[in-house]
Amino acid sequence: MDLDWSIEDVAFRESARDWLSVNVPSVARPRDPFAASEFDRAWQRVLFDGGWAGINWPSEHGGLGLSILRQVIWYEEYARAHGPSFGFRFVALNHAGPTLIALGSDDQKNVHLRSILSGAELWCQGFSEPNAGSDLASLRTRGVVDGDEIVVTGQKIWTTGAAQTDFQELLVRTDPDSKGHRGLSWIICPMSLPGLEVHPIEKMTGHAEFCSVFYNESRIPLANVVGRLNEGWKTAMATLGFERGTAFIAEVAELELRVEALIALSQRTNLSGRTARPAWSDDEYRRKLMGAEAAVRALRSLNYENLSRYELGATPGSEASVTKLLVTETGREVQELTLELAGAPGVEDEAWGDWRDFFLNGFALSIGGGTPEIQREIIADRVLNLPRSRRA
Amino acid sequence: MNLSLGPDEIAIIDSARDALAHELPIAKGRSGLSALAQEQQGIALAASLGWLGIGCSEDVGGAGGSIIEEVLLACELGRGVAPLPLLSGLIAARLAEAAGAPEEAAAIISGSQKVALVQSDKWALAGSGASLFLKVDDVGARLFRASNTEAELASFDPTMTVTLYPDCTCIVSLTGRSWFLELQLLIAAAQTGLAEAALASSLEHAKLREQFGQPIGAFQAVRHKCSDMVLRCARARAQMLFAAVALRDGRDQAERDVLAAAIVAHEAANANARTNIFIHGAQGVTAEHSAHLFLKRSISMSGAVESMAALRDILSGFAQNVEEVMHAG
Repeated sequence: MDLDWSIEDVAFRESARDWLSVNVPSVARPRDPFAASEFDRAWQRVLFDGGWAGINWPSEHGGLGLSILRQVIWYEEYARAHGPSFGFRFVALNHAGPTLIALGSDDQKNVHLRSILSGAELWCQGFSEPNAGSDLASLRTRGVVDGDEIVVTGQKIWTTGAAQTDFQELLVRTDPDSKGHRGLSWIICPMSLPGLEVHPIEKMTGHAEFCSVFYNESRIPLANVVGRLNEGWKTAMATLGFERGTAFIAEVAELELRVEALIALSQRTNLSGRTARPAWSDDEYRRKLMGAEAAVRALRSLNYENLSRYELGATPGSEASVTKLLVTETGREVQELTLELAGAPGVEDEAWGDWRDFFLNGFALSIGGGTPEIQREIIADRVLNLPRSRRA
Repeated sequence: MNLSLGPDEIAIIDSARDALAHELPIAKGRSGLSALAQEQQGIALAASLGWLGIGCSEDVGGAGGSIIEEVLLACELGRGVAPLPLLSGLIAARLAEAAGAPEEAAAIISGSQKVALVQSDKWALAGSGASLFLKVDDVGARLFRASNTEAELASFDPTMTVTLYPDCTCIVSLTGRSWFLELQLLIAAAQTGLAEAALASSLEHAKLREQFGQPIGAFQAVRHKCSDMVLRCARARAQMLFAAVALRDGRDQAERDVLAAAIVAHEAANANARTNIFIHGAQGVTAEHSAHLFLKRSISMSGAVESMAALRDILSGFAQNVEEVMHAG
């Protein structure tokens, strides 16, 4: 075992750091969702033109074809340079792209992968429905095969960026006689499709990038099915596996910086009602913060341990639910510590930046991609092999 | 960058786990075996397998390993609730050798000297029948020889004797913070192994025990508790490995990584040992079942050197001088 980076890795890190120091936008990502989506496209284009897009994606599709460790190095440097959050780029880069690389047809790869990397395509996810949340496999949006098209009717909900993105990874029931996870298909749905209605939903952060999407006999080419027809569950699970496996590297790198910032800020900020001494001098606050410091360090180590296994050829599996749950729960700890300090009445310090969004978004981050309770179920099923609690 | 165990490392783990499971099993709560007898048997087993010299040179009968091998062994010692002198002996043997007392090191490795751990300058953990007493703090480590013997006190942990700290003469003394960090890390490793053992025990029970016509492991109240045990184990193990490598290589911030390992490991051991009792219901509160051994050992190890609060305070001492690295926005 070692924690050393190769000479090539170190050189890669240095050149990433140099490039980021010059190219990270100096203006904040806009709050308005449409302006934000334009910001996201432009920034992805800068990354692509700079030669930093798709670090571990295959080079024939515009990626750099490098190891996952280089991807880790990139995320670490990106966080350190305060690069913009994924925003509306998240689904395309972390779900859709990797899914197409693994299961897409040559045509699908040719059409989409390079466009995702260049910022020409933003994606959203159409999995959840009003009556299919944690029980995703009970979804009812219908897809009727009609010649070389699928006619889609139904409703999706909690779709981040439906109004701002170009394509959707859409999960529908294509076998009307099926139940549960059988008979589903994973389809590339163009958001410009006739018969498709998007209704924004405002989140408690004040942002309105959440949406409900209605499909009214929308016709999608049969060639847009990724993986096999009626085997969309397999494709969807691959998608979620990618998210749970590697998407947390960036989040952990950001949490490390948040904790470092709290350590510094708590030494010059008083707790609410305590005017005499900084939060750092409060035993309870400081010890809670050190608990979070330990937890975040352990998460970084867990990421490294998992990545070491993937480097040796293992594929991300159900242990990714362990990482996802630890990341969101540790994130919640850090969010509460931030609130306790920054949320004191009258604190209007530039250094606190977006603490309101950081705090409030933590709930959405914990619930999105599977609630904490569903993650515990997945761990119990697939990591521990405990007897099933739910009907299939 | 590689945090995967190699074949040699896995071999150490397997042989230690195997030996403890056969020679000093925790089944039946080790009832009938006094704490002193457990400590004596443990030392004999360690001597026969060369465990206490795993980090010492071959000159004194050691195996020439690093803190990595010691950590992996300590993790298995925790899993098997092995007696404390096996942990204190690891550090003491290496301390003696480093301080130029090879005969003391050899005596510890061969099992002829029992090493107790001094707590708060007042108690000696595993003190009964001990001839050497190890004292470690953040300025250095010292080894003492007792000039009298103290009577065994009532111990909270039935796998560990406790005595008063006797009058002693210092025979070995080295300054430096590394001893403190190494001891913290070995204890963290033992707590990690214990947390994993408590999880394994809970899983075994949850799959077999039936109530309301099905295994209790099918109930979400039980499943989710078990999943939380997994989370605690996962982060404790990962941080243990990272901190071991960081300490071996003298990496920047290794102190913070060791203390982080201690904090998450103590949390894992304490929480998992408690949860394991609830998963077992009434069986979990009997002396016959091993669940109470995990509980009591996790508690005695948490307080062995520094309290949980003290660990956080020490970590804050290392953390407070960081540059302000980010704008929170």
